Formats: sequence, structure tokens, C-alpha cells
Amino acid sequence: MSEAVIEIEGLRKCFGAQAALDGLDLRVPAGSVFGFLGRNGAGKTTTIKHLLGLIKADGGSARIFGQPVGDPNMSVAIRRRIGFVTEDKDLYPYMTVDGIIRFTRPFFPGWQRDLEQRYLDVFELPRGKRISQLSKGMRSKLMLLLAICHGAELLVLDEPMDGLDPPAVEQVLRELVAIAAEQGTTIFFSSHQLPEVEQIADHVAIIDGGKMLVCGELDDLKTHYQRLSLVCSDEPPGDVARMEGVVSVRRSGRMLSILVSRNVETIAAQLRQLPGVAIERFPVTLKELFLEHVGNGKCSG
Amino acid sequence: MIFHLNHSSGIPVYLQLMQQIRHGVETGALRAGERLPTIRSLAEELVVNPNTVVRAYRELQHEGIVELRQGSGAYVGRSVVERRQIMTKGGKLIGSAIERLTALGLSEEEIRRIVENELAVARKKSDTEVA
Amino acid sequence: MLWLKAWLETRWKLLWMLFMSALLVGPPLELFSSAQTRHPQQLLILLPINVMLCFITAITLAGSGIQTASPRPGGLEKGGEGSTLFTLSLPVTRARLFAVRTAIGVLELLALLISFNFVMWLVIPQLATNVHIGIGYFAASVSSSLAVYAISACLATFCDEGWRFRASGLTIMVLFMLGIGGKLPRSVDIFRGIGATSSLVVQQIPWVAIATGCVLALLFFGAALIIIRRRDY
Repeated sequence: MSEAVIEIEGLRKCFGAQAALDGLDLRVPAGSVFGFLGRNGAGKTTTIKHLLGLIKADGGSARIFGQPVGDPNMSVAIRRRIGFVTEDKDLYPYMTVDGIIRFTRPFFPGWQRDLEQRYLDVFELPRGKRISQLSKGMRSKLMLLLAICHGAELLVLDEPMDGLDPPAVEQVLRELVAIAAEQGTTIFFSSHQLPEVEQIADHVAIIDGGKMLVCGELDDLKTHYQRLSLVCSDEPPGDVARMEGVVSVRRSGRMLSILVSRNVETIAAQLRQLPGVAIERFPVTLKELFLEHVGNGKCSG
Repeated sequence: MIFHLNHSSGIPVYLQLMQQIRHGVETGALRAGERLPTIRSLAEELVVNPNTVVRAYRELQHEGIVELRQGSGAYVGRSVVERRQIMTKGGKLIGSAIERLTALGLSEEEIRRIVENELAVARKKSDTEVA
Repeated sequence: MLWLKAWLETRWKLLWMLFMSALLVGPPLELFSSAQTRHPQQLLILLPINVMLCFITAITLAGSGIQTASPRPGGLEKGGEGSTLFTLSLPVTRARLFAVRTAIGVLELLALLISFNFVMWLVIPQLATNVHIGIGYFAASVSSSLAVYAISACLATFCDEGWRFRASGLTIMVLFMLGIGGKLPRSVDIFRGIGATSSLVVQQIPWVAIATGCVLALLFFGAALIIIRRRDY
């Protein structure tokens, strides 16, 4: 197991009576491209803010680069190694693109000047334009430029593709992949664009109600999660939902649709033994997986 | 070699890459001894996670289709030509089976389902044998 | 670069204060210089204005952006004021952000006071004759402004902009009223030096008031710094 860049255990945070984080566990391996998924209000941004020391948790622990978050001695040193893109891509409206680059540069000894012009060109950001005149998408790209150029070992991106049109999204994905490939940077990002996450992530985590629901390597999840479609000649068996590995069962007449998270072979074999059963297998997309766990998928009968 | 990836198909990308490289070898788009793109450049070109490419190449190496040479990259295996011949034989077998099933009155969709079912049964058998 | 940022963020406030002071001070000065008699008592017209000026400036400049530099706990939870998140994610301690911000504010305050006093000296020749007294007055106004600034900055560490304004304004008013009414002991009344009992009228350097002002300033700056350090993450 590679060492973890981010380790979160039992993290808890309440805003008044509401629990934003309710015992969250999360582990981000070094060098991974980690997609952090969840509905609005599930606790993604709260987690990210805690990692950056902007919010104090009520319980649990978090470590970055092995250091506890919130240790005042380390926190400045840690922040020097992290590139961050905020949820609301707000920068200083009175500065120009060039101005904020020059402002941010001296804070980071590892700043890579040669990348500046490259990203200004790739992202089509005009140097002289005032930030207040930039669209949200351009500000997203500018924040990304700032985060990448300072040579961070870890990028923490809160919805980095917010406000971007498809060609711009592709640009950003390409750059993120290039960084992951060339510099081994760990990329931890939250996003609502599931197809984009599916494209470049090697690990995903789905959280809801401040708790971790699903976490693992994306390839494994896609291999183990399968949908079985079953047609019975008579009444379908009632105890399918209780079989180990079955996540949900949907039924319509003599047809069952079963979502399985593991042991698909065992389950399929057992089902095949029932009289007059025809079984088909379908792969499961990330979107289906997400909706099943978080949205409307849980129902049977 | 051009790849066509479907990220939302539910099939892991590395499997799709593997399938398409194998197919490339069968159809002759990739020749024995030919150099495959580097992991980095392929990942950047397809805009996929580099680990995905790594995994595809490694699994293909296990199957003997790809050779990973230290320092110089990935190459199509020399034993690939034999594989192509076996594939051609396999094509003939399946072709005649399909003819016969069609004669029985089964549709294309039904034939496909039978094939998938039988593959699953065979896989289960080999899994239990290994275990 | 932090200095530049702080300057860029507060320069409009400074210009505004300069403009306001010109407005407030212009007419009385005009009146004064054209009057036939140059009786020292007529200086009294200017003094309340100067007092007001110092304090409004101090309150306005102080704390502006301190919430940006180091929000109170809970300030960041929902959203958080725009670029604050970006600033705080930079590898700088909050104490440093606060210190720079405060320092720029103090410099701007001094600039304002100097320019005002300079203009006064030009227009009121009596001041030029007794330099000690003039400097004493200047020193008193600086020290009391710094005290007000410090109180305001300290309040800024846990109030948002709107409340801070009201809170510090109220505090100052209360202190001022008490001072005028003679209810405050001499040592605490920071306004002694610049109000009706100022050195210009009484012809004495108000050492005590100056000292008080400086002490209070140091106290409150220190408190603010401690509060910020505790929040440093």
C-alpha cells in the first residue's frame, strides 16, 4: 500500500444542530487522482476546508503528509506544498491576471516560472485583464494555474471544472493528467461531472450525510459492481435482496433488476439454479453507482 | 493506432484499452515488435489516468501480447503472430456454430445471450478449479 | 507583496478620508484666516473637527480587511467572504497578515494626521511661534488616534465590518462624553490632549494624555495579536 497523502479518521463537524460531517473516514494514496463525490451539502467542501485549516473540526483527526492538520508549526509548511482551488473561485477583483501571479509567486519557493506562460496560453488567460472582468470559468482556470505553478505535491480542487464549457473541461483534464503523469502530483478533487471523474480518476469516494458510503479504486468498483437482469417464469424469489453483495433490487412483474457490489459470480450461479430463469449482465456506470447509493435507487418490490 | 474509449460504458478503461490493443494486433494495425506509445504520452493523448495505461500494459504483458522492456518502453510481443493464427481458427469455429444456431431459428440477440451465458459458466468452472 | 495588497485594498478609503477632511476643515480654516482677529480661542472651532477626523479615520482604516486577514471562528463556515479563502490558503501565518494590514493602516493614519496638522500650521501662524506646543498637540492627536485604532482593530477580530463600526464608534463616543463630563480620571482620558483642554489652549504639553494613548494602543494591539495567534492554524 502506498503511503497516504491525506488520512482522515472519524471526522466530525456540526453547524449548530446540523451535522455536516458525521464520522468521515478517508484515505488518499500518494500519486493518485482521487475523485471526491457527493451531493450538494454532503460535506465535501467542509472536508476540504478542514484539510486547509480553515475550519476546526469537532471530533476525529486528519493528517496531510503525515502531519496533523491544525498543528500551527507545520501548517504554513504544509500549505506551501498544497495547491488549492476554492469552491467560489474568488480572487482579488482589483488585481489583474498578471498582478495576482506576481503577488502569489513570492510565497512559494518551488514556483515554476516556465509553466506560467504555458498555462496562460493553454487556458487563454489575458495577462492584462482585471479579475473582476473574468468569467467564472476563466477564474477557475486562473486559480488552477496558480495552484499548478507553485509546484505543489498535492492539489486540492473544489469543483475545478465549474463554469467551464466542454472544450475547456477537456483542456483542464488534459493538464491534470499531464501533471499526474509527469510530476506524480496527487490530485484530490471534488466534482459533479461524473463522466469527467470517470475519465481521469483512479480512486473515487462517495460521501453522503457527512459519512463515507463507497471508497475504492475506480477500476475495481467498475469490475465488481454489476447489474443482473433476471426474468423468472413464475414468482421471483423474495430473498434476493438479502444475498451477500446485493445492493438493491428492483422488480417489475416477473423481472428483477439487481445491483451487485461483489460476488457477482456466486449470486448469478445461485440465481441460475432457479427454474426457468434467464440472466443478463450489464456493467454499471459511475453515475448509476452514485445515484444508487445517494439518490433514488434504493427500493424493492 | 487510434483508440475509441467510452468512459461512461461501465467497462473499466484499462479493459477497453486491452481489448483494443488485442484487436489491433489481430487486424494487423499493430505488428509484432512494433513500439507502443509510452505510458505518459498515451495517457496525455487519450486524457486518461496514467495508471490506467500502466495496468493495461501490465495485464497484456501477462497475456504475452506485450513486452515491457526496461528503459525503452512497451512493444508488441513477437509471439503475437501465433496468437493471430489461433484467433483465425477460433473465428472459423464460432462462424460455423453461428450458422448452425441460425439454422435452428435463433436470432442474433439470442445467440449473443447464449454465448455470454456459456462464457460465464465456463468462467465459474475455471474459477472453482483454480480455487 | 502583502503590503502592496493591503495598500491596494485601503487606498480608496484613505483618499476618501482626505477628501472628507478637506471638506470638513476647509470652511473653518477659510473663516479663520480671513477673520480680523486671530484670537487663540477661535482655534477651538477647529479642534472638535480634528478630533472627529482622527477618530473616524482611525475607525474606518482600522479593521478594514482584518476580517479578511483572520476571520473569527465560524466566519468561514458558510461561504466566507470571497477571496478570504484564497488568502488564508497561502502559506502565511494569520498573525503576519494581521500585522501587515494593521501597519499599513497606521501609516495611512499618520499620513492623514501629518497632512492635517501641516495645513493647520500653515494657516494658523500662532502655532509656528510655539513649536513645542504644536508638536505636543500633534503627539497627542497621534497617540489618541492610535489608541482608537487599536481598540477598533481589536474589535475587528471578532466583529464583522458593520458591527465593528458601530461598536468602536459607540465605545469612543462613550469615552469622549465621559471625558468631557469630567467623569474619567486624568490618566485614562485620552482625549485630553486634543479637545477643549488641548495644549493649544492651555499652552501645556499633555504628557499624561500622550502616555495614556500610547499605552492603550499597545495594550489593544497586543490583545488583537494574541487573539489572532490563537486562531492561527
